[in-house]
Amino acid sequence: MIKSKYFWILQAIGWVLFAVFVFLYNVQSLGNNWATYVVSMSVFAGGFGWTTLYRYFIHRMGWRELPMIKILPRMIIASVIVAIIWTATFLGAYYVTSFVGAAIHFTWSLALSNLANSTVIMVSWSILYFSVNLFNQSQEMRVEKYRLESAYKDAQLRVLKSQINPHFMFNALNNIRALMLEDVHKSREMLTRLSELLRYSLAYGKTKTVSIGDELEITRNYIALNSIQFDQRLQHSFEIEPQCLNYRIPPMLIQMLVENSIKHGISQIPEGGQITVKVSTDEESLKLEVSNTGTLKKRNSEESQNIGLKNIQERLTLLYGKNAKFTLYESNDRVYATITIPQIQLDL
Amino acid sequence: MKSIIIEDSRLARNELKNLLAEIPEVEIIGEAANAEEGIEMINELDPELIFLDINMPGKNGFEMLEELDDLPKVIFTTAYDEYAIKSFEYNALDYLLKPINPERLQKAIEKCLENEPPSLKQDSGDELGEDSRVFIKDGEKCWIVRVGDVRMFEVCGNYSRVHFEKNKPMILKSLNQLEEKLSTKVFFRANRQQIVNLKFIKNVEPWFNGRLKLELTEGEEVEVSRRQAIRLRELLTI
Repeated sequence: MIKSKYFWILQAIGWVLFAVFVFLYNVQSLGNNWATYVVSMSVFAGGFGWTTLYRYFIHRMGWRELPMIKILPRMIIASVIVAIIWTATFLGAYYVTSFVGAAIHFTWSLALSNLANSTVIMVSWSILYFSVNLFNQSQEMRVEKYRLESAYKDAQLRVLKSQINPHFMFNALNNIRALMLEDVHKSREMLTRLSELLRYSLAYGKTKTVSIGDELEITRNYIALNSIQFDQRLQHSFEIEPQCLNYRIPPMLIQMLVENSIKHGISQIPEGGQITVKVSTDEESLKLEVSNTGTLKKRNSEESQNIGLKNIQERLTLLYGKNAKFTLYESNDRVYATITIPQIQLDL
Repeated sequence: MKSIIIEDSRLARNELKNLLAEIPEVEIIGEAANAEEGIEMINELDPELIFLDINMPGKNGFEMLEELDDLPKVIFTTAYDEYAIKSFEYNALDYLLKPINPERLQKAIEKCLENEPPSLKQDSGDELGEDSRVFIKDGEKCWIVRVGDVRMFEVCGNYSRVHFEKNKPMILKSLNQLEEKLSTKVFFRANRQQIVNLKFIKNVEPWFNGRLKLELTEGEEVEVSRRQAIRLRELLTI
């Protein structure tokens, strides 16, 4: 584990530096003899060893998950205990070396002053340890937060682009049922179109983008199925710049625009109307436009009018952030819905 | 039963006609493609039953019914409109889902045939008789109400409140408009605010200044103005 590796590096460097410092100090005060080596070594080994055990203990007791206020008293008490054990270790080494004629002798005042030093060092070690730990945790939390956010986005997208409108589907089935009696050939064709549309809507849950060519084909199916519902009331035309066909867009985007045009435009007008689907490019962006005869005022009277549009807007924001633009306006008795998005040739 | 189909899709109309061809009790006397045509046709042909699609251009099915004074029997049809279906279920209205299951259709028709004999139209012209049925929609709820079941109409701003059974929805009609249409044999204008159904009066008490106080079956109390009290006395003593 990477974090574990950092611990060992810090632990080793810290204690080596500290031992070097102790060694130099002892050379000054005790003289350059083998007892100095033994004592310095025991300071290093004790410090390194006991704090490693201390860390193991912290892990086992689950202190890292505790809130700050609960960590603090535990940390101080534990630091004092570790300091006592540690001090005992290296004072023991002193004691042993004093038998073989080393320079200093064990006294209680020596023990207490050493214990005070040790405690300061252990408290510092603890503070450092818990700070690094806290830092790590906040990093992890940030990563987790991002992960959750993107999972949430994914979930939202799935909901937003979900399913073909069931109202449309059952109407199509009902119409095909009637069409069978008057035009077998056409009703067979419509069944194929409906299956293609359904298959597409089932499959696109797994893909983020489709080519404009594929999307237009499905849009044609969708319009054809609607025109058996609306008969002469639905006229349509396509104006597609051929170089656009390979650009990629989120699936069902054009279909959704057409669906809105029909739902709030054509289907509200007793004499029906006309829909035009236009795809064009300029230097850097791709423009999708669906327009229909009708007025926006008529749309506003509908309660549910904005749900579909809001859906489109949200989908675009989730996918493109601020790089997508969606507008809806009325001009000369036509309603225009346009989407401007960045040009993308490959799958996102 | 003379019936009319009101439905915007030609194929859907054909589909329903095909299904109804198997049911001899039903005779299709007309087809309309939207609410406007529907209203005209109902007023002209006076059907006993209509098959009504909810989602239509212009006015939807509910809005169409609100414009009719005297409803024929209604069987709603819809492909999939959660909102409408919820409303049908809640208010126990008859509806069919498209594509229509022939057995369900048969059952719906049978229900229409057994439910109350076809109302005999009163010869009173535009007057709403007791057996006339009206469609009332208030927010999400809607009812098809027999006029004779209404206890009282009451002013509420520009609206009128219709009291029947446990409900009191509002309709966008003034009390004067209502008074003109209602049969005077059954409904009585008690005062400026209220019209009551004489059949629902439980108790009559003399009140101050020659007025009367009525108590209706559900406990509502209505004061009758002095002028109207004289007329009420005449009506009740006959």
